[in-house]
Amino acid sequence: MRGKLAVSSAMALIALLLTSNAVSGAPPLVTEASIDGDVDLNNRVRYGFQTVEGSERYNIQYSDVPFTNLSESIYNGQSQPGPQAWILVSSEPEDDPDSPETLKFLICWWAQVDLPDSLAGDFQSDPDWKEPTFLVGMPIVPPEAVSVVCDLPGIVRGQEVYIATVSVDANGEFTDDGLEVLSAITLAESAKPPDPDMTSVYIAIGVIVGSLCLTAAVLYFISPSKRERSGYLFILPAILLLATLTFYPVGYGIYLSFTDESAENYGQGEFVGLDNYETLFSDERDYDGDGDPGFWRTFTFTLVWTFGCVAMHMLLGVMFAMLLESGIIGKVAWRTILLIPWAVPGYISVIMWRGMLNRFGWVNGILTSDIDYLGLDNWAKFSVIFVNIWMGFSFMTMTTSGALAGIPKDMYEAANIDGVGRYHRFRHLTLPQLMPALVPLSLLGMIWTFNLFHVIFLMTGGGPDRFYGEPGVTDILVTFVYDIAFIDGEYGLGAAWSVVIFLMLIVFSTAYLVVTKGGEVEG
Amino acid sequence: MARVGFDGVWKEYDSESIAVKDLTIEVESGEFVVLVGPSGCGKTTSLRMLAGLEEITEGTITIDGVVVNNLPPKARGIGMVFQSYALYPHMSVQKNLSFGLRMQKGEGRLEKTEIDNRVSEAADLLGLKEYLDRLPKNLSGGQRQRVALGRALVRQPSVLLMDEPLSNLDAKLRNQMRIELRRLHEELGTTTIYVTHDQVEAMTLADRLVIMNEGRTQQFSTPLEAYHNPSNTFVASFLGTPPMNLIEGVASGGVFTYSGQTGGTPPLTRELPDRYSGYEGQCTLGFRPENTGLKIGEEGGKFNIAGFESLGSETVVHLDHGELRISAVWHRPGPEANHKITDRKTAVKVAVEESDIRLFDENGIAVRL
Amino acid sequence: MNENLATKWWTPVSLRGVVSFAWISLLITLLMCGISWMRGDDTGTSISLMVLIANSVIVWILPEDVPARPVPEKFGLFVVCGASMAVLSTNYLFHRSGTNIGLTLVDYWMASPSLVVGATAVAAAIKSSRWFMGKATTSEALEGLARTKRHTGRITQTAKQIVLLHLGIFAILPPIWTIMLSLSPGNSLSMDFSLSTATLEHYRKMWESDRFWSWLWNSIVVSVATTIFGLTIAFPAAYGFSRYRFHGRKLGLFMFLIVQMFPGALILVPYFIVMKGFGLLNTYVGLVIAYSVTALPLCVWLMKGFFDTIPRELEEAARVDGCSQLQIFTRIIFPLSLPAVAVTCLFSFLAAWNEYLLALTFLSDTDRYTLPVGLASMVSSAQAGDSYWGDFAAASILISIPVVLLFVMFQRYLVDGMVAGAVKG
Repeated sequence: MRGKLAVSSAMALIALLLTSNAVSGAPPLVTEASIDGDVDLNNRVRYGFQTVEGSERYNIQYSDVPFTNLSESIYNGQSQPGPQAWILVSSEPEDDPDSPETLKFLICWWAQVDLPDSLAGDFQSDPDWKEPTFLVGMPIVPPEAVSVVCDLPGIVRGQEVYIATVSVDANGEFTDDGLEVLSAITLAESAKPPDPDMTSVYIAIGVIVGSLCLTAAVLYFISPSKRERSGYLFILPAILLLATLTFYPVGYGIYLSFTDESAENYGQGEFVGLDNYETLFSDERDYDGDGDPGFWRTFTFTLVWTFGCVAMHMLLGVMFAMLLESGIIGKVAWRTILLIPWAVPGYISVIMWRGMLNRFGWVNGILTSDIDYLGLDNWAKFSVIFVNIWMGFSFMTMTTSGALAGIPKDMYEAANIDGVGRYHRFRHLTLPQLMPALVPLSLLGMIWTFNLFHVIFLMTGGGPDRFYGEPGVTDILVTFVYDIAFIDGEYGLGAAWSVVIFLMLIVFSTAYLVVTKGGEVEG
Repeated sequence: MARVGFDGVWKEYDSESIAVKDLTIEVESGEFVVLVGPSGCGKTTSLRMLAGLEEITEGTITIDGVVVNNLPPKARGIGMVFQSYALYPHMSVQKNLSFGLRMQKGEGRLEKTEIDNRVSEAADLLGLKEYLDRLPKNLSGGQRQRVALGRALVRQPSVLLMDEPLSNLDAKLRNQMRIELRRLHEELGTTTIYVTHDQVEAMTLADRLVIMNEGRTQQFSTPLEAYHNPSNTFVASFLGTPPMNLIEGVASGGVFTYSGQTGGTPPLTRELPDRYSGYEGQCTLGFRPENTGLKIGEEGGKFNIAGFESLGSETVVHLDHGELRISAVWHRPGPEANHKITDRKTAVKVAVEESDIRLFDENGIAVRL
Repeated sequence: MNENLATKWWTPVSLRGVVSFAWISLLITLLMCGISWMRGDDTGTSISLMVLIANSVIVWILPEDVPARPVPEKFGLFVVCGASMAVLSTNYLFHRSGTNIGLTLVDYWMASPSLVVGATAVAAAIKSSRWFMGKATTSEALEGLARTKRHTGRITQTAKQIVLLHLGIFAILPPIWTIMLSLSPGNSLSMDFSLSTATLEHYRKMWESDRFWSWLWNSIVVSVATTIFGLTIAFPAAYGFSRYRFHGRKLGLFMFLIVQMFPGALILVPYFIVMKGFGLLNTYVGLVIAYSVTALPLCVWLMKGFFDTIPRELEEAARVDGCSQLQIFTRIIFPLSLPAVAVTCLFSFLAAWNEYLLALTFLSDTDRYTLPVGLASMVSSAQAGDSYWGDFAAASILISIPVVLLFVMFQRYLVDGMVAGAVKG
């Protein structure tokens, strides 16, 4: 996930600044940590310290376990200890004009006054406190800064963290001895912004309910058939629920995609036209400089994921179903065993596989190989698809075996007498007979897989991440939308992505509706 | 064309259910043989064993003297028409007809022109020319039936097997198709084995009949032979509508006596023809309803009229004598038809020609002295 | 028809059997190539590639469904390829035993099929050499055909069972792993399972853990409430759609069809904002409403399909007998539709029970977590170190058993329901 792994991406950006592991005798510069200063809705912790003379740079390290030595500071399963954030000190703070706004993920302020007693104040509007300039995503404060307050990103909500700051001088040495560690905890709900004005939502829902009821009433009374008109009463509750809780949110989502609504200005989003849509494709968010802000890459992988999974589900489903239906001994037992991947709750399956595919997990253990299945780009892609194939094939097997059982057997006897070979029997008899069941199933499978969130979210979290702010290697559109909306809190932009996803899904859905003839609504 | 032989063929599903018992028949080349019997008599199973769709438990089946027991169906040179037609539902008539041919590999492979020729030939023969592009679901029952037949014929089989091919058609169509099938057989001369439970089909189509019951062959003869000289009471009661009248009784000294099972019924007697006069003991007397002469209202009549069934061209009269019931057929409604049929007391005298009498022994087997 | 019919159609059953099993060994050899490559074992990879080639030849030598023509060249190919499969896979085993890892079970599993198939291929070819040379007599052929008939069933059955065995293992390996993990001491991934050290500590811990019970309780409350609420709405709607022909009916049905295709992502953001505005985050109500609406279309379609199968005459008869509309509904329709109601309940219950995304978005309070979010949080914080894999595994097993049993018991209905939803719309 982006926020969480800001850590690793930032590391990649400035690998040259990495400190060595041998940290001993660095001085404590830790002065104060805020326990309740979480102004950002999501997983940020406010933290302040006072500067020391001769510093070139401040390394900020945090850990989810208490530590007394920097080498013990490990955050969220990071493989090596190291700083998670840096603040540079320079007398000529150049503001890199190319540095996009969104890369300034480490929000901080500096002042020439001491730290205030409470960090919960509004530093943004306080004239004493100034914003730093940025160089490739790192804040730069001038040497005259006396104290610095920052909102540290990438902390799991509700988690207790321990934070330390060390000062590094021009030679890359730590400028002081000793280390003191403070703990802080993010409390997402602690600093609730004022409740937004929900009047418009009330009005909208009221209007929808009212107009639907009115329509129903009108239809009821003008209905030519006294007998049939009771139908309106039966379906009204469901229609109301559907309208207010599905169609209205969808409309609202489309509206949101034209606003700059976000976690920060929650409830106060303003209409920004097509800005969000431009952002989707603009270079502004192209952090790795490949000319693509991640959209097309994610889109491509989404297609690979969707078609790969569904094609394999179909292939395996048909093969295994034919095997099951080919007169085997113990059919019921085998059927039950093959049912298990479908029966086990999805999230449990995913986490099981994540554990098994862990570098130190069972798969490597059994195969005596040493591959980081979830950490290497191509392996990660392969793994998520593989796991989804495992999870989905049994459903396809079950449905296909049902469809197979419905194919008339005498057709095969006729073919047998005609001397039709096994392959042609499948190709020319079985397959065409299965198609009426397989085509809608595969299209529906595509819609489901396209929208499938938890497999990738729980397996890799979209990772491995390469550049902060861009989607991870295994991110598909829906998982990346989640990141944008709920990790970055950019609701408007997330809604814009969702609308684009929706437009793509229309292709699948139309195909599905055409194939099933509008679901044979007459039925 | 080919000869087909069943030699002591048994089919056992398990020790409880034996479908075919000791089937032994020899079908001549070009012959039209009908397997007929009530449902569950093993006729379809026999056909499927010949086709290679069922295993043979015991015995041998030969085609042209070659034992085919273990040959795969495709190697046997047969064509088969299924009861349900078993058409490929997603293929047009054209495709249905040519599919089997197109799928041949190796030596059996045919040129495309040859396939087209055969298909159009079959379509011509069966009058399917206009329907070649239709799907089976857009065809009528009779047309489907023809397609199924055509599919079997394009393979130019040496033996044509048909499993109740007309049973899904309505009565009128069935009559038409029956004539058609006979014509085709005369035209093509293919050895044909035909399974049906319908005795009309069996009688009209067959060169020879195999009448089966409970897995056993009851009679293997020409239809007329089976009709006139049934080999046992089963055949006698199976063929003919209404079936042969069968009266159980005792033969003694050249006279047959029926005295009812429970007693109290006045006995009936009939002198047996000379050819049966040597027979003594328990037996069954049989005669065809159409050979039953009636004299209504005449003295000495021992039967009462139980009811009439008028079919227009003929009238079936049911007659009671105590617990015995027989039927008779009048071909022309005579003055008797005007008789008050509800008058159950009307005495009817029954007269049967000597030559029309058949006698069966206590096991139901025809007596041939 | 001629006497050569038998010789023409006869292929020795032993050869056909070898080919059947060669398909299995081909697939396993393919895996052997992949696994050797994953191990970075170049020698192993090249050996298994060679086995693969030999195996493919065996598979292609005698095509199915064609009367095989006996050719002496094929005899040579059969023997050579069979022998090389056997030799090469033995070689592979020797090669692996020479590595510092040594031979593992996986090696035996990968190498033995091609070893056995190769050796059998050689034996079968030699035994059938007369056939290969085209010297088989008719009586031999007839005998051979009888043998084919006798053995084919058993051979294909065995082959199928072997394939199914692999398939079954593939299907239950992760659950097996989870069971082993839940019984192993310690909470790390690198478990060392053995029967002697097996422990129930994780189960005990979960059993005594308040969090687990509160998650379970949350899940139960949410799922049951969703089922009841959803059904209350869906039942009359389905009945209305099935029984009445009113204006706009088709449009209504179509609406219920297309909402199933809306992406969750499109609804998620506005849902979150609205729920937040109404203060429904971290509440049961918010989740129940959201789940009911998501399940509504499927429930309506499922039950409508069922009502369509209840003859209208039944209701008409009841009306003739003097039942009111309400009585018809409660006395006739409801009792008759109980099976459909049960299946629909099962669907919406399971959907709510297993849902992750909405729960993750709506719930931030650990005590309010439903099981999916709760269990995921047990292992999400870290991949090494202090995650609770053992506890997670124990909890997963506890949760999965009832769900899997439900699936096994109701598999027919669930599959039919899903297919009905998919194929009929």
